[in-house]
Amino acid sequence: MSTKSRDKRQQMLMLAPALIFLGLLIVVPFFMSIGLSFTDQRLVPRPIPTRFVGFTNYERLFDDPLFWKAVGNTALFAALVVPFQLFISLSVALVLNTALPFRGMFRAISVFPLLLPMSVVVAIWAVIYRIPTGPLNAIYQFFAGSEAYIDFIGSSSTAMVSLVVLSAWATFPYQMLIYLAGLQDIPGDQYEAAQLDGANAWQRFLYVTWPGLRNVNIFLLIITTIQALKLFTQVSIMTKGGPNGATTTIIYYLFQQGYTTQKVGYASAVAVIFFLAVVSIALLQRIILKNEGET
Amino acid sequence: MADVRFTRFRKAFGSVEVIPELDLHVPDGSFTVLVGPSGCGKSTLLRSIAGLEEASSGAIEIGGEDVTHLDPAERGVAMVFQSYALYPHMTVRENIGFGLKLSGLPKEEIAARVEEAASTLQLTHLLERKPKALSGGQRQRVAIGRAIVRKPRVFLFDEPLSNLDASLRGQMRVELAELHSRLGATMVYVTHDQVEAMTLADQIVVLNGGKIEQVGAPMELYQKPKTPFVAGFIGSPTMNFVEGAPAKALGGAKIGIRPEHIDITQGGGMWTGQLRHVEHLGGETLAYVEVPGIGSMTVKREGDTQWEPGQQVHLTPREGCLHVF
Repeated sequence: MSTKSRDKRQQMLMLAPALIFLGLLIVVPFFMSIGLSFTDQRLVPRPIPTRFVGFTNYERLFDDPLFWKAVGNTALFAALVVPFQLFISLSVALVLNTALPFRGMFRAISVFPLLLPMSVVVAIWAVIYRIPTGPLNAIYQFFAGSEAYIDFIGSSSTAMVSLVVLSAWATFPYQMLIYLAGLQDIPGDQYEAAQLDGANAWQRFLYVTWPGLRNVNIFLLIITTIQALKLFTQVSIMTKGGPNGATTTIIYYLFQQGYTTQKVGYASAVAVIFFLAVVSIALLQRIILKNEGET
Repeated sequence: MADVRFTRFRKAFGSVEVIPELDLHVPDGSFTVLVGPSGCGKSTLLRSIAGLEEASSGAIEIGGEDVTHLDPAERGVAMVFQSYALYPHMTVRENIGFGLKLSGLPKEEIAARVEEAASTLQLTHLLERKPKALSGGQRQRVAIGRAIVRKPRVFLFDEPLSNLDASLRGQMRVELAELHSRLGATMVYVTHDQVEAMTLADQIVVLNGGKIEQVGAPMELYQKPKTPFVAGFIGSPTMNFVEGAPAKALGGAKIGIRPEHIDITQGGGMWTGQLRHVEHLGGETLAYVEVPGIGSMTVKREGDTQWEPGQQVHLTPREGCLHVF
């Protein structure tokens, strides 16, 4: 055996454990779910064998108003949380990038939410949102009178916004760290040149910082959107999709169909549609933003 | 146009004093070069004129006006950075016109002044390009264009040629000199390259450890260096120094002799040494001679020579060309 092919064999052996795990946990289920979406597979095996049902699951899916409501909710959540979260991340990054006293300490504190499991984050915010005497309602009562309160989680008009705020708080440090790295990548002398050109702080942000963050923005827009579309944990723990379906997202709908009602075939169809949607949105964002940069 | 004056200027970063008290006058319309080794404070001095560094104490005047506490944009200065500091997402036209746009000038006037600067610097055909599509020399010209379009009272250059290759550097040096004589503007230029200093300046300021060693015209510094540091810094190759008994024989504690002022002969010289190494540069030849009791001496000769390493030679310093310290 030549050295080259022995090297190759050794490499494959080294890679094998990781590849087998990846294959079993990601690739196989991915293709399985495509296959299952054309069957009437149930979660718990039945006496009647599983049948091939063609596109029936997809047809039912497109006729299901609850599915479309979930699509709408997910889109709304993404449309609210992505700009909000990126705005917070960039603002904090800008502050932490200045010559702030105790900067290291503030940087460490700002990453704190990332260290908490989502269940703990939800528990914290459940206290903040509590009725009628949570901290947020205490502030509200200060302005609106002692009897008034807002049912942040229980009212269909505020439940989604409450989830948006909670989610942005829980995960913004990730985007913030990437912004911070992006800010440190912008050469300092560009700011000095702008200063000599007479640019004030806002103009320096507009003409140096913002264009300098272009690639970072594209990346963060795409991953934050994907992250938002996958919203599940917060909904599952805090609102259970309610009230009245107001926070049922696509993934929560998928979970309900696959586990609560045990229709695995149908849930797989939801997963396939979701996958295609996410990939298309990411590609679309990439193409639009790339074209903009060329002009 | 305006002169620049430092009065009892001092700059410290925390507890580190970069520039202890210093006085300096840059005459109106002069091309003044601040030169010195790394960390001598020359860039700090330049950035202080720009307002990018604040004086720890003392004052800076531009054209008689105290600018010590003015913002960079209010000082009427323009600066060319070592890295050019062009805005990467703007075209050449936008880069050059950016300062004018911020100052709220009408569009037609901005366009006219950008065109004028571009034609001065032969950039007209590149106006719609972005910096990444330009060569190093072209970027350099855009950076200069950005400075001249604002018609500043003082131009500041922070090692502007150090990122260019040798031949381009020579060419840009000539262009800068021409630009200075055409505009007649006050220019302050920082470099660690003594060739740039000698060729561009009408006034050189030699800095060492934040202190001014000497101020003067290039040839004055070459011919009459006040300190061994200036003598060693100006001129290439570096001046030879003789100390101890051989120096005493010539009438001083420390004697400096430039390599071009030593005669080399086969017999009958003042010192005898052995040729260690010879460099043939084409137009001139450098000989490195090991002289017992003195050390290594460099000798420069026009044209080519037949010198061979290992050869025994005799050296004689030329009459009237000794620098006694």
